[in-house]
Amino acid sequence: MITSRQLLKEIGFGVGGLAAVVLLCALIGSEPLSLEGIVKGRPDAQIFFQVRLPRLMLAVLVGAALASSGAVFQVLLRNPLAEPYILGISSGAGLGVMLAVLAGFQWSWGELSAQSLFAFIGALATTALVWWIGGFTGRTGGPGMILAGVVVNVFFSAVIMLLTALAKAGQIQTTLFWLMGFLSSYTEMKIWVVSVFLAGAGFGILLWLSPQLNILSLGTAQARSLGVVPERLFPIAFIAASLLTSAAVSLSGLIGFVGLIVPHSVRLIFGPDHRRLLPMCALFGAMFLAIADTIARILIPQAQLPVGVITALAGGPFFLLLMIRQSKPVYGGGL
Amino acid sequence: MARNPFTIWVSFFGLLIGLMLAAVLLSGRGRLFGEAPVPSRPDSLRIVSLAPNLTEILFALGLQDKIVGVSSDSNFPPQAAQYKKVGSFWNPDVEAVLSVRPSLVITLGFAQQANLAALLEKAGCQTLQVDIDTIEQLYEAIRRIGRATGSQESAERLIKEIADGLEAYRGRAANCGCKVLWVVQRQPLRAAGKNTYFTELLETAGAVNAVQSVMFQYPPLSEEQFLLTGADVIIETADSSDDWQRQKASAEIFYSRFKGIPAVEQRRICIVDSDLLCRLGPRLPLAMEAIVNCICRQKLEQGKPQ
Amino acid sequence: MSFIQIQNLAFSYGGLRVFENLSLEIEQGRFCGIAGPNGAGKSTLLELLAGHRKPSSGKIRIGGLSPAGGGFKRSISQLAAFVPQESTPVFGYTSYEIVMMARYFRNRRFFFEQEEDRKIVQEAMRQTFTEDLASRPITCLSGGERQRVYLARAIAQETPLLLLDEPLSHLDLKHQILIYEALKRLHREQKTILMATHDLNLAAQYCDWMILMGPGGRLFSGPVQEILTEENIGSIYGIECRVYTVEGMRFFIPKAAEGEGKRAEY
Repeated sequence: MITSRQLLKEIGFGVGGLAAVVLLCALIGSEPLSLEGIVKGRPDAQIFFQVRLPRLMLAVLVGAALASSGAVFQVLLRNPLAEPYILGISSGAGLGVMLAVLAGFQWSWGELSAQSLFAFIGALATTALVWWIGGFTGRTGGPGMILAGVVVNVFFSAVIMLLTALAKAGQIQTTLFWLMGFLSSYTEMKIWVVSVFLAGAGFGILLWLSPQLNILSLGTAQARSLGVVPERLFPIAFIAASLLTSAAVSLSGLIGFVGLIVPHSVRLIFGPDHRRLLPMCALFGAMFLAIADTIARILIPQAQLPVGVITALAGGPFFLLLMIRQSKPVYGGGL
Repeated sequence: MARNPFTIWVSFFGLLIGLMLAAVLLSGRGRLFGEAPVPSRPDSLRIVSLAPNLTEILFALGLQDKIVGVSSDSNFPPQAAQYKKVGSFWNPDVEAVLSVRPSLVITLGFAQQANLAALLEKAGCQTLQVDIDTIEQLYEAIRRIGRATGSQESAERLIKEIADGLEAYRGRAANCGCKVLWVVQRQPLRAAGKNTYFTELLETAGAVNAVQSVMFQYPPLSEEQFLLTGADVIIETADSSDDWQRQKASAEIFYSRFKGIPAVEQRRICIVDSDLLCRLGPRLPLAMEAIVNCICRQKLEQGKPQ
Repeated sequence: MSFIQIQNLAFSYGGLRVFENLSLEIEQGRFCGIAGPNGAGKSTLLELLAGHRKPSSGKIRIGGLSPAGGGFKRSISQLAAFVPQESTPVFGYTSYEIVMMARYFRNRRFFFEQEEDRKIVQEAMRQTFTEDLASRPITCLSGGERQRVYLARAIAQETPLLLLDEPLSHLDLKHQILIYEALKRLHREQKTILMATHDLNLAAQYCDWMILMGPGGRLFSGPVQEILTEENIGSIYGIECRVYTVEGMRFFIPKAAEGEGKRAEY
C-alpha cells in the first residue's frame, strides 16, 4: 500500500543518494583529482567537467533506462528473468552497428556517430519484427514473444558472425567495442536534450501505466475483469519500453545485466507495485551503472575497461545468490 | 465516450516530437557544462603520441624533449618507457591525456581514436589525425607532423632517410625471384594481400607477393588457396619477448602438412621482429633488410649465388 | 428482460466443440449454481460471460450489453467481477494489494488509493476472513487462502454480478460454509451470483437457481428445487444417486455402480 507522500519521500531519498554517489564517483578515477584542483581550473576541472561528469550522467541515464524498461519487460512477459534484450534488441542493434561500420559511414551528428543512429534504428526495427512474428504465428502471449525473440536473436547473431568473417580487423574491433557496452562523454546539449526527452517520455508513459501494469501481471483474463484492456496496454507499454531500451543502446552499446539484475533485486526489496518499482529501478539502475563504470575505470590502471565487462561480472554472483535463495523452502509449496 | 483513441495518440506524439524539435533548435550548440576552461596554452610544445609508430617518428625527428605522454605500447626507443602512459593504441585513456596538459595530440585514424580526437578538440587541444596504411601515407604523415611541430626540415630529412634506406635494397632479391608470403595469423590462416605495404616492400626488393587477390587486405586462405600460392618463402612475425627458436620450430611443424609448397619443402620459413614489420615507421628499412636477408640467405644456404 | 440473456451460444476450442445452441435466461438477483461434469463447459460459460473469450456464434447480453462489444470492454469491470479458478500469480503482491486492484477502475484518475477504497477493501477482507493475510505475499499462501483473497477482490469491486469459477474447491468445510454465508449476504444485497461448483449439496442449500450442464448439449435451468432431481443428476453425470431430505435440507448421495445395467445411459 502506497501513499503519495510516502512515495515522494522515498524518491527524494533516492535522488539524494544518487547525487551523492555520482559526485563521489566523479572524484574517483585513474587520475587523482582534488577539489581545489577542480576549482582552480587546472586539468582537473577539464577532466571533471568534460570527461567524468558527462560520462557519469550518461551512466545515470542509461542505467535508469535499462533498469526500468527491464522491469516492464518482466511484467509484460510475466517472467521475472526477462530483460530488455530478450526480444532481439541486442542483435538488432548490433547488426545495425555492424552495417554502419562496414559501409564506412562517416556522417555524425555532433558527438553522436552514425553507428548510434543505426543502432537505434536496428533496435526499434527488430522489436517491430518480433512483434510481427508473434502476431503472425499467433503467439502473442509472454512465452510466445520470447520464442519469437529467440528466433530473431539467433538469426541476426548468425548474420553478425557472417559479417565478422568478412570484415577488416579495425572494423571488427569497432563492432566488438560496441557489443561490449561503453560509456563515452557526450558534452553537447543537443544530444542530451534529445536523449533525456526520449527517455523521459518513455519513462513517463510507463510510470503512468503502473497501476495497469500491476493488474496485467495477473494475466489477461483477470486483467480484463478488473478494467484493464490488454490489447491497448500491451502495445503501448511495449513500445515505450522498447523506445527506452533503444535510446540507451544507441548511446552506449550493449550493456548487459543491468536490465535483469536491478529490476529483479529491486522488486525483491521494494515489492512488485510498479508505482514504486519503476522509480526505484531507475534510481538503483543509475547508481549501479555509475558504480560499475567507476570500477571499470580504475580496475586496471590506464586501461579503461568497457563497463559491460563489469556488469557481466556482476551477473555471475547475482545468479548464484538467486539459486541459493530459491533452494530455501517457501511457505505454501516450496521445494 | 466517442473520442477516437488513435487521434489522441497521434496528436500526443506529434506534440512530443514538436516540443523535442523546438528544444533541440533552441539548445543549439550549447555545451553541457559550459565552455571548457582552456588551460593557458604553454609556450612550449607538449606532445602526446597515441601509437607506437608515431612515437618512433617523434624520436626520429628529434622531438623527444617535447613529448609528455605516449601510448602504453610505445616500446621503442627504450627511452620512451619513461614517459607517462596514456592508455593503449586500442584503448586510449582520455583522463591521462588531459592530465598532462598537451598542446598537440597525434593519433591514428581509427574509430575510438576519432572520438577521442573530437573530445580533445573541444577541450581546446590541437589534434593531428593521420592515416598510415601505405608507405606513401607514412611520408605524408611525417610531413604533416613536421609542419605541426615546426620541424619541417627534420621531417624531410627523415623521409629521405627512410626512402634511401628502402632504395638500398632495390633489386637485391631479384635474382632470387621468389614468391613471398607473409602469414599474419595461423588459425584461421590469413596472409598479407596485394594491397598492403608488404607488397610495396617486396616489389622494391624485386620479389613478388604470393597472394594476388585484391578483395581483402588480409585475406583468409583455405588450404587449397594456400597450396595454390606456390610460395617460395614464408614469413611470420614474433614479439621481441617471444622465443623465436620455438616459434620457428612450431612453424615448421605446422606447415609441414602443406606438402607441395616450395617454401615448406625447402624449409624457407623466417621469423621477423613484429615491431619492425608490423609497424609503419622510421625503422621500415630494417624490416626490409630482414625480409631480404630472409629471402636471400636461404638461397645462399642452398649454394646458389646471390 | 432478464439480466443475463444467452441465445444460441456456440463455442469451439481447438476443434473441440464445447457446446452449441445454448440458450439461457437468468434474472437479476439470483444466486445461481452451475454444475456438471468436467469438460461440460462450466468454466467456458463463465469466461464467455466475463468477456474473456469470444463465442463462435450466438448472442450474450448482460444488462443489455454484449461482452464482445467495445462498450462492454470498458464497463465490464463495473458490471461483473470474476473469481478465477486457482491460479498463482507470477509476482508476489500482498493480499491487500491484490484486493485493492479491484478499486483501480474507480480511481483511475487518482493514481493512489483513496480513503473510501481502503474502507471497502478492509470490509471485503473481513467478510472473507482474510484480514490476517493482508500483508502476506499472495505467492506464499495456500490454495484455499488465495481463493478467499480472490473472492475478497470480487466483493471489493462492488459489481452487480459475480462470476465465480469453483471458488471453494480448495477450502476446508468450515471455510466453505463461511464463504457460502458471505455469498448469501451478498445475495441479500441484491447481487446476482453465478457460481460453478461440484458440490451439489451445499449448492442445494444456498442457491435459489440451478443450471446443470451435461454432455451432448444437455441443459437444465430452473429453480433449484425443480432442477436438482435424481433423474436430472443421473442424466447429466451418468451416475445414479439418491435424494434424501433431512431437516428440510436435501442431500444427494451417489450410489456406487454395482453391476451392469445400473448406469444411466448417455
